Amino acid sequence: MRDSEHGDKEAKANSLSLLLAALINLGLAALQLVLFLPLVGEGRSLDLPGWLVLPYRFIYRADSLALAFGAAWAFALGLTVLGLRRDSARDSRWAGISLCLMSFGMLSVAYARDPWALYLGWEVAGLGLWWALRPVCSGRRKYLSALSLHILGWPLLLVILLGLVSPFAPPVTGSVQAWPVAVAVAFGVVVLARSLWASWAYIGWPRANANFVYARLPGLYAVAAPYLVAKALVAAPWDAVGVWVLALLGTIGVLGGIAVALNTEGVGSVAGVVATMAAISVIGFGLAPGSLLAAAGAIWVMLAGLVWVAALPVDAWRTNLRPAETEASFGGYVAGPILLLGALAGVWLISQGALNVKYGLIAAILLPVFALLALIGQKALFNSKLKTVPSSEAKDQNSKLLLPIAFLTFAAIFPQSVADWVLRPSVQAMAGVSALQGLESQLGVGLLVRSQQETVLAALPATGMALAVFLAFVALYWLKRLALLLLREPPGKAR
Amino acid sequence: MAELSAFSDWTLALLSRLFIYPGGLWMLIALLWLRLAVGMSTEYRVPSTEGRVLPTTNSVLGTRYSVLVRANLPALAAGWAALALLPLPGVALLPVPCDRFSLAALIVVSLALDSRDREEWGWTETSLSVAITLAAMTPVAGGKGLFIREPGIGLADWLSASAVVAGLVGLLPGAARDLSGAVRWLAWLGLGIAPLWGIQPAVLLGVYWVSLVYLVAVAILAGLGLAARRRGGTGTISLIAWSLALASLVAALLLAG
Repeated sequence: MRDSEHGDKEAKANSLSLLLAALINLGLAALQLVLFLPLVGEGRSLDLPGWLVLPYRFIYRADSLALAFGAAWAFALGLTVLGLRRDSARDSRWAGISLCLMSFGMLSVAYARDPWALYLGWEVAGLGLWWALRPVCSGRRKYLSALSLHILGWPLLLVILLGLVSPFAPPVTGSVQAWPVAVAVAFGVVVLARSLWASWAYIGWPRANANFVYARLPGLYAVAAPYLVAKALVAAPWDAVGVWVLALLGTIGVLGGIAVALNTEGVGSVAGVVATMAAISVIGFGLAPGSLLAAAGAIWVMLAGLVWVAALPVDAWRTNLRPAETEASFGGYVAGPILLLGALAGVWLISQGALNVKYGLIAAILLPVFALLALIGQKALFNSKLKTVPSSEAKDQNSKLLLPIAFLTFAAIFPQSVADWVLRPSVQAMAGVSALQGLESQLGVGLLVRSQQETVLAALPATGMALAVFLAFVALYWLKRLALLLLREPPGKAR
Repeated sequence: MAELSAFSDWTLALLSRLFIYPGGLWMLIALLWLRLAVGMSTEYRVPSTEGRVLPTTNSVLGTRYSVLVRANLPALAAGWAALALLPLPGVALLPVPCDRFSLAALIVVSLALDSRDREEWGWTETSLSVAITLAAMTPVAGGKGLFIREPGIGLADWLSASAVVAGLVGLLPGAARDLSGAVRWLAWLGLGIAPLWGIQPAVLLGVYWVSLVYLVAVAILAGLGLAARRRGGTGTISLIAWSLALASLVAALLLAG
């Protein structure tokens, strides 16, 4: 009896710690907006010193790209933690602290000006992830996971030690020099390795799949990985070889992610989808020096990926429930289409960007790849227990998924807002990319891309298309009601 | 004000497309023709989840298992919108027309929405749909933009059209099974055989030319589909569609610029 009371108390304490972690993360997202939005809204940036550690050296830099990523990360992690099941807190004693550690690490990455701040921030984020995942791995695997998370950053450490990485800020004087090819290779390899690490975690740790606390975290870690390549563009562009290398590495990552998604089931399959999204972002950031549209698209895909992972209904990944104990999970039913809708404009931008730099192959394959991802994601979720949640929690869980799903739907229907409020300022922060010209927002219809000769190269009238779908849906709804009225059978004949 | 007028112009142009041609009335006639062509054979009758054979009636409101009552409305609405927005000859001009990516994406969204309640959703269907999407996108690989103003009639375009047509033969069971599949099928056809829209005879108005092409194409593809299904060649169809799509991609890249 006393043990049971003690267990309940512990569960309550852990729930409280997770709730605090969620509130801290959501608060951090709001705080960043309050502190930096007025500044970056005017197109300015702010170099920040290391305060207690290095008071006389600028090691952080607040610009629009950092704000977009930092706020999106804290928001997505906050939503993920907020969606925790109450009883999941039992085995997550340190989850609240480790999640905050992970978030602080990633925020250090987001605002890093000094390469060491970025490297150490990612190590801290990795430590937080490992700490959060610790309850689900045991024995040698526990140490192997810590070591593997650390090893993934070695290529980055190497290029920093060799002095090849300059601060992530535009040069004050002189022209911008392109990054050495070795840096492009190292960054690309680190990003792909980190994005695929999540797949290894999902597939290798069955227990991680049993509890969504652990299932979503590697996904967030993977989808945030391409930020490293984006950060590099703040200081300098890639040269032609660097562009080619990153496009190649991204394409290899796409193939690898699809292979994982096709050859695994359930959460493992979703991990493959996440890795592929990260690889698509790498392609976009790789092509960025030639086409700013690709950079804008890559930012979009990365941010949409973060919100999508937060919207995944992996909390229902339990196999011991009877059908009578479950209800349909809203998130499980819409995850595939929402992935497609939320990231569609980003993929569209990367495709047009790829055509601008004569990478026609990438332009042609991106939509089919994304279609496959959406179908695999949907199939993985639908064919698993993820389509349902326990009846007792259905209302609570479904309501928690509403916010990220609403965000992605809004971005899909009204991409002009994301383009004007997030992408333009973010791209402006990149010295390696020119200003976002050519992309035109038509408030009532959608997005257009014009060439220098004013020819329309691409058009995504998303708002207009959404209106068409809405009108068609309303007409069909009433037709169906009419059909049901006409086909109503007499009570005696009804089965 | 200019932004509002753009929205207003779009809506006005959309209404005739959505409810008259190529959506609405024209779509209904095309659907009836498609269902007549493929639905007469028992080959396409599909078992329900309870093991009964659902009648694939040619009537839209025929039975309590009517296609409309069973339809997945969001998927059907997305497919309908995609068909209405196609750049077919004779359609009302939109102030901002959709590029090829947007149209293909809208059809794929319809597919993704439809896959939610398909327990029987198979890999062949997924594979064919992805192959068709690739084939639809390959003509842009050699160009400067996602817009194809003048439908091309080069090798890559014809290979792309052939790949879409081959894929559609494989997707006929899906078109016969539900209304959203059928509408998507019509939309893919309109997008895929774009080279034909560029060779419209001067004596025929746009709507008649499109209707004639659809009439003939549906009849031929339904016949091919039945023949392929009787021989159990769905895998072969998928292989052909993928091969043609990849050939189209290679041709587009090699013949670019």
